[in-house]
Amino acid sequence: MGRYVKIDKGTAIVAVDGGYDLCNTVSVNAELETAFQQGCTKVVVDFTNTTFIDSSVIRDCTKLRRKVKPENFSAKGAKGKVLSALKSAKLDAWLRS
Amino acid sequence: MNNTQNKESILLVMKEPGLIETALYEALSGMEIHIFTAATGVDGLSVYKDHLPCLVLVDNKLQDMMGMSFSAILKDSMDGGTHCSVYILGVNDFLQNSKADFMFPSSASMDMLCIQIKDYFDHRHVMALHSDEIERAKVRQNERLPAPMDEDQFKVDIIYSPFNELSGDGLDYWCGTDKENLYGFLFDCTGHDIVSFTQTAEIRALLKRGCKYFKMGMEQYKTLSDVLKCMNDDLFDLYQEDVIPTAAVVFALDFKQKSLTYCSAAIPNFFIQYKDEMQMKEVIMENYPIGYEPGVEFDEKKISLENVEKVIFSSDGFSELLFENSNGLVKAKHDDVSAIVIQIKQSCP
Repeated sequence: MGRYVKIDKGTAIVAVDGGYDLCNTVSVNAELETAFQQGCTKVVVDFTNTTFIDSSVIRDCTKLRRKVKPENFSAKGAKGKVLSALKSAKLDAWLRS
Repeated sequence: MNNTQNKESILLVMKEPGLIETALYEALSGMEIHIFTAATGVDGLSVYKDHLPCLVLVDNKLQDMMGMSFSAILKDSMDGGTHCSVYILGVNDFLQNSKADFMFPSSASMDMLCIQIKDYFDHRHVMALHSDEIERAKVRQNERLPAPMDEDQFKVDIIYSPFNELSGDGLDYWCGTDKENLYGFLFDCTGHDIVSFTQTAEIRALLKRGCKYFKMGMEQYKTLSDVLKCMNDDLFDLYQEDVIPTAAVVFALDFKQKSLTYCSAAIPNFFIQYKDEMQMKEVIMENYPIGYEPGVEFDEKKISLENVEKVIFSSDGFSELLFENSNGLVKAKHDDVSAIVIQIKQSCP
């Protein structure tokens, strides 16, 4: 549907290529709002093609996790700097597959 | 220049500006705006250079050139034309590349023109107020920064560079009365926008209170872990689910015992320079951010300061720039940058 968010059977899948930071979190959040309005109740953040995240992503993912409830939130594909950033905040528990 | 120098001004470039000048003075009364006039395009470019008005209204049918050509010349001139707005009046035929900001057709009324120009100056006024607020906030931000310290046993300085004007980072440090201890903290309110900046005052106050209680040895604040745990619980008590996560590190150096005690909440690392070692050592830390979930624990660690010459605590905005080559970086600076640099003068026996 959008540049960063796709919908698959009620799940909003967030995927940002390259740097994921304050510059694109506004667009991601706007696309997610549309996804929720269309009935999405789960979120998966796919970091497969993300090379870098900043703290605004940690903030927004934490808020998202609260919004959809922890059991409906997960992440995948983190590696390199992204995985390190998640691990330093013990948030690699988000990675489920 | 004259006494209009500090006023906002408009330049009217047209053969007969009288009616528009009168209407604009009436419409803009109370805004302290001065109006200059020029009858031709050539004169208009000269008057523009002398007074640098923020808005130029030009008739499309000047005696010596088309208003659209005047606009294109002015906008690309070396005299700051890109900083002014150009409105062209009486437009019937469109020319490409006029670079004008707005065009009024011949059929546009005087009322319409006046309303547009009033809105233009009102918007400029609001933007100026916004800039003033940002400037005042920057002054407050700088006032909160601690002064460098230079004592017998240690020297402390900071690096502080917001990503863009206002930072979501904060830091502070102070020594014990006998100068045998140094306490401090550094935090990074996630994000680096105005939301983060507004959060910094509260985070600073809570951290300062926790560290003060720790220094006093209060029951609930026996360890630095307790400081972060209590702060986390306080934030959830205050805001419940609306808590914004914050990364932080608190530390205490004991120069008598030669020890460094620290506790992190999602600050990923810090750096130590040992005597006789070429490279700084990175110490990895893993803990939840403050404000992630209620009731979480934070692990406190203690290391020796034997042979330590320098310790750097920093936000990830700084540590991610350290020892990186250009291949590893996406941007030259991608986040708020802040660091506390502690130089230990008598670290080893």
